[in-house]
Amino acid sequence: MAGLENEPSRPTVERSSNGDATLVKITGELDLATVGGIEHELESLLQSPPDRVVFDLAGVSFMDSSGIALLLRVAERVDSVHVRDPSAPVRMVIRATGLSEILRIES
Amino acid sequence: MSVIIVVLVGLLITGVLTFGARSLRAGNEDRLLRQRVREIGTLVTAAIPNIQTPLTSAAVLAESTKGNPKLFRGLMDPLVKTGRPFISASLWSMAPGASRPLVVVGTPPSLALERPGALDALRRRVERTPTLTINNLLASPDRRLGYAFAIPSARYMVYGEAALPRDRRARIDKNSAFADLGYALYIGPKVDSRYLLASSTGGALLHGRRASTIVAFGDAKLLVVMTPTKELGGALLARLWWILALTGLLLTAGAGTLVARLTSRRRDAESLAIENARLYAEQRSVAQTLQHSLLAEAFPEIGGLEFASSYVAGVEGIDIGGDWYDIVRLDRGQILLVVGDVSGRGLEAATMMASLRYAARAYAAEGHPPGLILSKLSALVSIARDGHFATVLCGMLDVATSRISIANAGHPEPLLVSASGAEFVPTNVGVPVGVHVDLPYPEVEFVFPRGSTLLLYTDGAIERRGEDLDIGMQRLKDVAVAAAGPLTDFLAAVAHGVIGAQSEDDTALLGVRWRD
Repeated sequence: MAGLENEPSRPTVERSSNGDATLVKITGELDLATVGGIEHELESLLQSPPDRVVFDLAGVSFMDSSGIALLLRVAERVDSVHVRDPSAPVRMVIRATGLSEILRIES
Repeated sequence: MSVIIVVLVGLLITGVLTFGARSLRAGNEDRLLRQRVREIGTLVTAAIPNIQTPLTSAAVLAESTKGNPKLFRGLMDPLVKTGRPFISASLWSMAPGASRPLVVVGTPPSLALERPGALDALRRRVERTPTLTINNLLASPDRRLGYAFAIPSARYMVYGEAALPRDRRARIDKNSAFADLGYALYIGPKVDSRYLLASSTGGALLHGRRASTIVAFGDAKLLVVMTPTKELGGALLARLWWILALTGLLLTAGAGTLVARLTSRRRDAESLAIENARLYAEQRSVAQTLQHSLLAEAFPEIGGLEFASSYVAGVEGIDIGGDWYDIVRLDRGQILLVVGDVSGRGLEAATMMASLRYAARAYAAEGHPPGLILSKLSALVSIARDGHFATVLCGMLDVATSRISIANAGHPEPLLVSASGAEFVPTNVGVPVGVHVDLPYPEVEFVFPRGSTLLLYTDGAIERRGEDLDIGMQRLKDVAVAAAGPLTDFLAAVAHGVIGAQSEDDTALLGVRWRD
């Protein structure tokens, strides 16, 4: 029986404020296994959402549909969500799922 | 086994305590018996003067009164009347050869029947003995004991005889202090039935615990042997050993049972853990079987077309995934092809998948084109409420024209495989279903020529952790080009070629081909 061949590397979440935007920097893997923990960290953010959220996903090595779902859930609560400097995997997934207009990529 | 050890230790402790209690009791009984025997010895010694003093007085009286019979009689009568301490008292001359008593009080002494030689021997002993001279007449039919006394250089000898119980039994009064003891009295230093004066058993030897003491009795010795007939030390000490044994056994049994139960509970817990692991594996296969059965409906019989499908679950977990494919035959010679992928896993994802699947069939049956079907599906679910979204590819094939109209909600584009190679069909990629932006899903149209195979799939076929999406897409192309044979074989080869051993994501594949 296959076990967990790849231990999900625990992602880190950093939050900071920059004017009217909240910056959320995530590093590591953003997938089914880690989404729960990250969402927990962003709980307070979702309770009282700011106007703008910028996700810094430069350090995200892998993102699957669960990761996208998390970004979308945040996007539902705030006025605008931007994705800054996404890593290559993140960029490709956003484009492939037709979410480029919703999860706006800024460099 | 720990139960055996606990029981052995318990039995050992019980044995030691029981043995200790028995030793304690035995020691106590011995001690008490010896104490009682000493008391008896003292009593017996204290009783001797009852015999000695009257005889001494009579001897002195006889010497000073020249053997006055009347005075002698007067002195001895009371002692003989009740048979205690004597049944016979007599006065004899100390002169050798005198064979008849001078005075007799009470029954005639057996001594009178003795031969002169025996009498002289007695007189000589009396001369030598400052105290009483004991004359053993136990052998005589009457079983008597004689006591003789004379003061030094006397002319007269005083002689008394006592009768011993014919049955040799002398019972002790029940209320006396010695009622709990059996005894035997011997005249002589040894236990010998010939010298038994009396005993509580009538002559039978005493058994069991015994203690004895020797008391000087005139020129002889009295041997008192005693044995307890009851517990001298009391009932508690007597019973203590088996109370301890019983308690010890019960405690040992209790401890053993407890340890056994704890051990079996632990074993139960271990086997439960093993069972759980087994059930988990079983449940996973059940989930997969369930998923297979949900999707493995028979494809509709559509002349001219053949279909094949493959579903491979990801390696992780038992949760059902949200991938699906569907083929629906509609009116007017149209066939609906759908492939979809709900985000995440588990019951919520599976529920959304079922809703979307059957809603799509319904909308298609109503005659809506693929783009509108997707818009309606998007209105059905929402990421905010349901927590999930779904990528869906919806295509409508017109059998007569071989044209397919495709709308795409965030889903990987289908692969068209032909003799000249494999190419992804370009589509307008709209937002996934459930992300509400009210944007339309523009359709694209392409020709599905005879001799080609159309492959619809979910992202498990092209996506691998740590790998660029482009690489996965290229791999799919290469594998599809290399795969040959009937459609089912083709599909199996593609599945085998793209699904990694460690794929965590589910992969659904749907192949469509014109029949020759």
